[in-house]
Amino acid sequence: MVDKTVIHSFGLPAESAGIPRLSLWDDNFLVAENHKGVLDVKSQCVKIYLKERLVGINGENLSISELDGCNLKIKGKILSIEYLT
Amino acid sequence: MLKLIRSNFSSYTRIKFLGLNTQKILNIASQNKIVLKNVVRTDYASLEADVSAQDVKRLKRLVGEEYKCISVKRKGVYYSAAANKKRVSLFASMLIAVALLITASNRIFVVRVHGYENKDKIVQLVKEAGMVSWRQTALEKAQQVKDAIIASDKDILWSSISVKGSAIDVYIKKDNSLKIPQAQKGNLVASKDCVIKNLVVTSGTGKVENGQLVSAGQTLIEGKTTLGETEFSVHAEGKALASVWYFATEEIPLTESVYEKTDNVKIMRSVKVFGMTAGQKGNNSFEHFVSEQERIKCFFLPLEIIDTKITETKLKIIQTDIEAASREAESQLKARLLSEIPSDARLFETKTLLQEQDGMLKVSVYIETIENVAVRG
Repeated sequence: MVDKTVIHSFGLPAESAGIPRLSLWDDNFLVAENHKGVLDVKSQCVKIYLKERLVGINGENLSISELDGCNLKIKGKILSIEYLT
Repeated sequence: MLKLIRSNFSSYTRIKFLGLNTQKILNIASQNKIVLKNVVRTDYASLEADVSAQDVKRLKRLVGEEYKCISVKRKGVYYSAAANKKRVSLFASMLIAVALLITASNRIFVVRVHGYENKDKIVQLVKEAGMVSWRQTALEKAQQVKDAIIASDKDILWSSISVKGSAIDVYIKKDNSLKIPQAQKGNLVASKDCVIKNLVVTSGTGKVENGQLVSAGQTLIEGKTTLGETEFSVHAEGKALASVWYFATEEIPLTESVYEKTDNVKIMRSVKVFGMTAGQKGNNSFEHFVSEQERIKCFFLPLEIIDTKITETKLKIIQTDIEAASREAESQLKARLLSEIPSDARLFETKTLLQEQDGMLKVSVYIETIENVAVRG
């Protein structure tokens, strides 16, 4: 496992090393790469596992536009993102 | 862009998963590399997602009986093809129709002519050259037809042929410039027997005088002129107004023989059975007679009675109504003569003569006209 610091220093893509990544596009789209599973899907809240930590994405009219292996795309009005654990 | 196009053409099924903890399905799909799209929780215990046609069965097998899977919608080329795969004749007929359309588009159907009045002549030329067939043949023969069009009329300056689609357009440019008419050679001669009233010589030498009787074909104006001692050939021009007589006659007999009915009448009766004469009463002894027949048919019987009324006639000689007959003959003769007279002739005098001779009445009509009798000889 390559050190996170090394990857960050060299500007290498984090997802290539299995490090989870969240990309937020405006407040409508969120892409979660290298997630470890989905805990809950509701229109107001989507909870996903990123490595050992649980992340909750809160908003309105949320839905998963694409679920592909370890990549997840959420669309809807995103109000907040928080680590729950 | 390509992704968008691909996503619109790819086949997918929208499945509704019913059960508790439906998010487990998402994790199962995620672990098995099954792509889910447009995942929406519709209810506490139901989840809807789009699954590609190839992954539907695998996902249902992985999900097992824990969750109920209901197909809500199917979309895509895969499902359309599967639904229509038995409609062989439909697709075959569509293919044949397309093939026929493509074949028909290579044929020429219409010929249009621009810039020439006599369109039918040009269309006929094009058809005779065999251009109204396949487009390739039309293109090969275009130059040959173009030359033929120019050669067909000396007034055509140029022509162009364009083959587009199923139509041939022929463009023609005519020479519309004013042309000086060429002078015609030859003397002016009389077209019929007449008496010259007024000879007008515009060019040439007059050969007859006013009041002279001329016959058809006689030279009126000669195409020569003398200047001093030298004789020059010129184009004979002029006009010859002359009196021309038109004549027609008809004979009408003064007496007429007719057969007149007398009072002597006889009735003859015959009976026919099955179309054959079975009996006859009475006989005809008259030399000249007229007869009238009356047939009586019997209902439901093959019997027919024929009554023939015979009236004796006698020859009688009667006088013709001379006035009426001569009037009719005169009008017929006049109509006949007027049809022979040219339209530019002026009627001068009309005369009718009645003459009795050998039991016949001779009706003669004379029409005198003044007309131009000079024609090119």
